[in-house]
Amino acid sequence: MKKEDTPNIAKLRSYLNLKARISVSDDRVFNGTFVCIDKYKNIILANTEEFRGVEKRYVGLVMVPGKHLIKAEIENLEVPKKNISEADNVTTFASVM
Amino acid sequence: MSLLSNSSSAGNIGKLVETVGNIEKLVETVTESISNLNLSASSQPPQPSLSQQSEQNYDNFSLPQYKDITIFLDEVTREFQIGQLVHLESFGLYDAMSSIEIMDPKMDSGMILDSDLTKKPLILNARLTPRQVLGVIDRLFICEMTWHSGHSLSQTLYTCMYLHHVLELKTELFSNEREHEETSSDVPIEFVILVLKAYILGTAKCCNFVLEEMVKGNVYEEEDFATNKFALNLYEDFPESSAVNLLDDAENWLDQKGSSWLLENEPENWEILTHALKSRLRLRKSFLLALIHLAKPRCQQYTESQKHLLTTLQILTGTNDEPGIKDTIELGVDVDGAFDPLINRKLVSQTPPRPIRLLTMQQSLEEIDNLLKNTLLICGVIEYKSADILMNFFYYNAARQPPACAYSRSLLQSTFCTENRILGKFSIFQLIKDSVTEISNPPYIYFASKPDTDKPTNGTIVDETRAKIPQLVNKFLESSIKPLTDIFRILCHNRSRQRRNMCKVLTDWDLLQEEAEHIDAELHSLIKEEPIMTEDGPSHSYYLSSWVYHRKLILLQEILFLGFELGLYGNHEFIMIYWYVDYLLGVHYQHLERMLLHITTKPSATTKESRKAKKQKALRATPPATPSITLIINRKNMITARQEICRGIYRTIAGLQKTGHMTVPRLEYDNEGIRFWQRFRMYRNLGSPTLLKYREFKENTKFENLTALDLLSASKKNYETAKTAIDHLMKMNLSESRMDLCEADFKNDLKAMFRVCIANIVGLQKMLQDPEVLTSSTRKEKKSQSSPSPSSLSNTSSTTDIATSEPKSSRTKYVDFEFKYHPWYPVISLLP
Repeated sequence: MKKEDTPNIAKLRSYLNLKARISVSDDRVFNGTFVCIDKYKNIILANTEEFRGVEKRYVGLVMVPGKHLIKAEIENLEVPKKNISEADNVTTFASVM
Repeated sequence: MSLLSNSSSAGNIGKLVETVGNIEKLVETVTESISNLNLSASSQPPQPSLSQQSEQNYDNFSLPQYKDITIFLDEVTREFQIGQLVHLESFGLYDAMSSIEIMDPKMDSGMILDSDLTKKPLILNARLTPRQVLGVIDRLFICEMTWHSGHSLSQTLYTCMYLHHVLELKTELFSNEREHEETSSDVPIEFVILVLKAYILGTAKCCNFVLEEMVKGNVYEEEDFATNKFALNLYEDFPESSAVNLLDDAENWLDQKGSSWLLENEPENWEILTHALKSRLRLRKSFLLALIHLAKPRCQQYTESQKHLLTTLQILTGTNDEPGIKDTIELGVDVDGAFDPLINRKLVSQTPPRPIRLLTMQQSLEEIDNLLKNTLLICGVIEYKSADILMNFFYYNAARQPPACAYSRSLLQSTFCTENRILGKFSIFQLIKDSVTEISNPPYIYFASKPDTDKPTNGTIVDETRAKIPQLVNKFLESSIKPLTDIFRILCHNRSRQRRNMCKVLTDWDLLQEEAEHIDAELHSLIKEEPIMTEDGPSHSYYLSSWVYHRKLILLQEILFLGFELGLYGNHEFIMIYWYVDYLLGVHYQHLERMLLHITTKPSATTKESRKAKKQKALRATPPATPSITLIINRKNMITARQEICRGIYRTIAGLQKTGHMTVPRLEYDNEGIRFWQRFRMYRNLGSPTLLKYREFKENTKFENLTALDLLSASKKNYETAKTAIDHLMKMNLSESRMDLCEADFKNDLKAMFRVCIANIVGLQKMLQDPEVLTSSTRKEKKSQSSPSPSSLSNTSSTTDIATSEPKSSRTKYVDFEFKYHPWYPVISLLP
């Protein structure tokens, strides 16, 4: 954390290295690690996967220009996880289906 | 598969909860594995639209929890300073640069473009007309040649949709064609399932063979050629014999059925259309056959290949009664959806594709013409006559314009040396021996016995010597392998790489020379060679190291000359480069004189004709020297020609510096001394020849007691001398010049040099009458007369003053260097 950071920027800085989900103007969603942002909301994601509807592919390191950004989401660490083994069972069941 | 593995890893995590219970760590891993699960889930078909999906994700506890920070981002970025970044410490500018920009049509291959929406899909079972088939064939050919010229498969051949579906082109494909009412017609489906299919498969097989050659690593990937196949199958498993048969079948069908259909339906053009299709099939067949034969090991079938290459060329250019391909390129028409230039968006690639432009049909024809002709030359190379002929061929082939294509350059390297066989025939040792013998002409004893030293000898004194000599010579041969083969390989690289790599191998040659000198000295004492007495004292032959030095000097000159060809020097640097080349050529000339002396001077007849002496004489006997003598004399002539031209050029420049026409630009971070150091820095670590210093250059090119007019007339004389030397060289026959494999190129080179001389003489004549040159020259004479400066120091300062501070108004003309005849020597003229 840097000294000159405003509280907001400090908070933003704490989001670095977390999973982010960015929706862009042409109905695509990018899921990747949040590594960089500038004043114009140009966001760089690492190890990114691109989703367009059911189509999914790996695109690696991408820069999403701020002007195309529709929605930005970041992994919420504050929400407590629910019973994990339960979740696990459900998905196992789903995948067998 | 992925689902199963995910669930099992999730199962492991379930166990972890019970056993370990380390919650923090757990949350992390689970988040990760769960997000994996999410991904695999999203690939399942019954998926709601995106917005629904994300809403669902909130409810679904199996996914990482996300919170919306869109509004927060708006707020926080407002607080940013201009240019401020918030980024991971480990994330640098380089990473940022290598990211792919989303929504940039050039980089973002996932973007939906307008052209995607309007794109017409390929109807694979459309009955193409002969003209359409021609259109596809010609476009595919353009793609192939564009690939050959260095572009990626994804942007060339892979853009052909038919290429990806060629094996589906069968009769069955057309059985349910009634669905496409508008496309059904009475055109025979054979035009697609036979003619087009055969041509495409033939092309694919040709590409297989070319790829096989290109992946050997002889040329530079991405720079010369792109071998990335993007993990697609290019019908490697389809046997080439079947491809050839298919091409035959297609041709036969065209002859019998196809042409008669054309006669009925296109009576005006049936003949030319049939011919156009047939000639393309035949071209493909003979080209494929040529490649098949070339790919055979040990260059065994080059003669067959030569035959097919000639046929291919003939089909390409046509004969008197048959039009060539180039006469029928207007006949084809485009097919909707047959080519998709954006196919590369679907392929996995680390980097976004560069924008490219396909060659035109005309350029493609030139490309294949170049390829065929170069390959034909390579077929001729295997008729080995001498190492020097081979080397000359490599030098002239490397300089060819237009440059030899990547395929032929790679093939030439494979031909030259594969599995340690030169030209598929003999050992590298033999090549080195030949090369040394041809110019140094050492005594028989040097290379007489086989270099295997394990043979037991009789133990007499003579035999011991005899055993020692092969040992030494063998040592030399072993050390020479890499430097010599390197030169051959380098000459097959692209022109810019050639220079760069020549600089790199200089030290190898320098070390080899040092080693060879030691070996030579030992050999001298072993065979008790008596030195030749010269004015400078006794001189030993140094047969082996002489050869090394000879080769090294050629490299040194080539490096500087190539700088001109590659446009590396500024005009104001020309004078120092040509001055240095002149020096190197001079050293080389002297070296050749020395070699000549040792070849022509037979060891003096020993007075004491004892038995021992006789034996000694037999050891020292040399093969007939005449070939070496002519070789050296020709080399010397060549050097004279080059040297005189170089002298002419730098004297002209020096003269024009005196008149003030040639000025050195004032550069803030650069001066001539540093330039000089930079330009010749690759020579700094060499043992020989002696490195010249900047001071020497300045003193040597000042020409204090000469006027500009003197210098200009002197350079005119230089060009005259060069002309005579070139004349001599022109008159040589093949056995003398050793240009058997590259005679035309050699003659063209000489002609170009000759033209340079003539043009420069004409230019000098004009300069000598130019009032500007005359006045500035006389003015300077007056100046020097009026103020004869006693000390040399003040003199230098006055000359530099003249060059820079004289008012520009008196000189309206500027010096023009034009490399219009020869890439190494400019034509210098004064232009208004």
